[in-house]
Amino acid sequence: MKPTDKAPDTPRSRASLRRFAVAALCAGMAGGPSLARADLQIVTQQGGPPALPVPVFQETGLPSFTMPMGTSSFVPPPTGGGGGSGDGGGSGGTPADDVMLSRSWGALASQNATAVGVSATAIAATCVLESGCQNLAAVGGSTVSGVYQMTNSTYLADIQAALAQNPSLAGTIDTSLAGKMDPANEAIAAAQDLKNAVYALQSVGVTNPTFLDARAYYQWGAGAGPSVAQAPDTASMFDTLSSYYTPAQLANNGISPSTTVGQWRQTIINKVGTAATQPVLI
Amino acid sequence: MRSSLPLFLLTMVTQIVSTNSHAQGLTAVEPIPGFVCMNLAISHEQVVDRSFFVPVYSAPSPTATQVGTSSIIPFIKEPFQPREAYQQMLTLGGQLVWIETKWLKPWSSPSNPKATCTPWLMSNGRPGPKVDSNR
Repeated sequence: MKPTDKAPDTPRSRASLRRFAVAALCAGMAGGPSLARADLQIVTQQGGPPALPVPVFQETGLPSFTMPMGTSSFVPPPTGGGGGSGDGGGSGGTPADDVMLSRSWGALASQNATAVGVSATAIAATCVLESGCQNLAAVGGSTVSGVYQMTNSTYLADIQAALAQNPSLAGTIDTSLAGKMDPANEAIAAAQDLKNAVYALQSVGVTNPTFLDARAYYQWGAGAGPSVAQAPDTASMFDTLSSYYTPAQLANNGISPSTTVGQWRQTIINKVGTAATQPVLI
Repeated sequence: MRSSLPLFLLTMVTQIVSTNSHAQGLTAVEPIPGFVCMNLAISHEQVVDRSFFVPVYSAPSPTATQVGTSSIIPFIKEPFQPREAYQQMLTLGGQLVWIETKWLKPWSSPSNPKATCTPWLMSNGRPGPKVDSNR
């Protein structure tokens, strides 16, 4: 059939149309101006089933901002779904949990986060936001890599801190840089980073930080996290960060000059659903 | 089969709209007089470096106890005293602490000269940065 031929009205062609429509709808939800800048990256998932490529927003020195496509994580469960409520079919109760637990390493990553004192849902939500739970290699001279998209320096600092605070992990934890590409092992460092975020937020009066509170720390840095967490919804996200991030870096992370802090918060909620409002610590 | 596509999309859109929760963010209540927003004189690399912190102290002295670290938008007591080695600072938790002047620079948004930042009391009872783009 030539490309210009009209497809016959068959069930198969209708299915294709439906898939296209759903894909277009998902892209519309997730996109915004920065979606056009996404690069498809080949995924190397260790020890797991083949995985679809996901669009990744790359930049130097900052964890990549990734749009997980085609997963149910865009749609929160229809009920309230608190942590561990069991509405996710035996998972931690949110679509984010379901995505991470669908990976071969997901259950172990969940256990490792819990061992550090961080909720499985928080580490699952981080995995969904950072990479779509895909084990991504570093690109473009950046050291950002892995399921949790950590820089080498952050990973090493956090994995050492996790071991220091949890000596019982000594027999199983890999503190070498190579351990960053083992998703379950990197989960330990990522969980420690979320724990550090909680401590930073608690030091400024946020008594029981949620994942949404901690997300700014993880995405924008230790000093930026509390400022963003304590900003009003109407504040300009772009101007809050623009002394420390270039416009290109902000754009690569989905932040335009008109983006407010409230809109940024809502994008997180849209992607991870009820996981956003659950406490980080267990 | 033919009519199922619009119904399918309508159902999906309805589900998305009805189940997406909304950000329960903060609102700005009132400005906090006597303090101004500033920025830290640090680089992008230092911002993303988890091992880098700008310390704040209990008193304006090199021997004072470190009581925390500064966020990227410290609230500094007016009038700013550039010749002094330390400035008094209001933390996001509402405490008065001291920060070394060398870490401070005027607040600005480099690509938006119209932008402003003022310390406000937020709806959770703590200070926060109210950054307006004024575009």
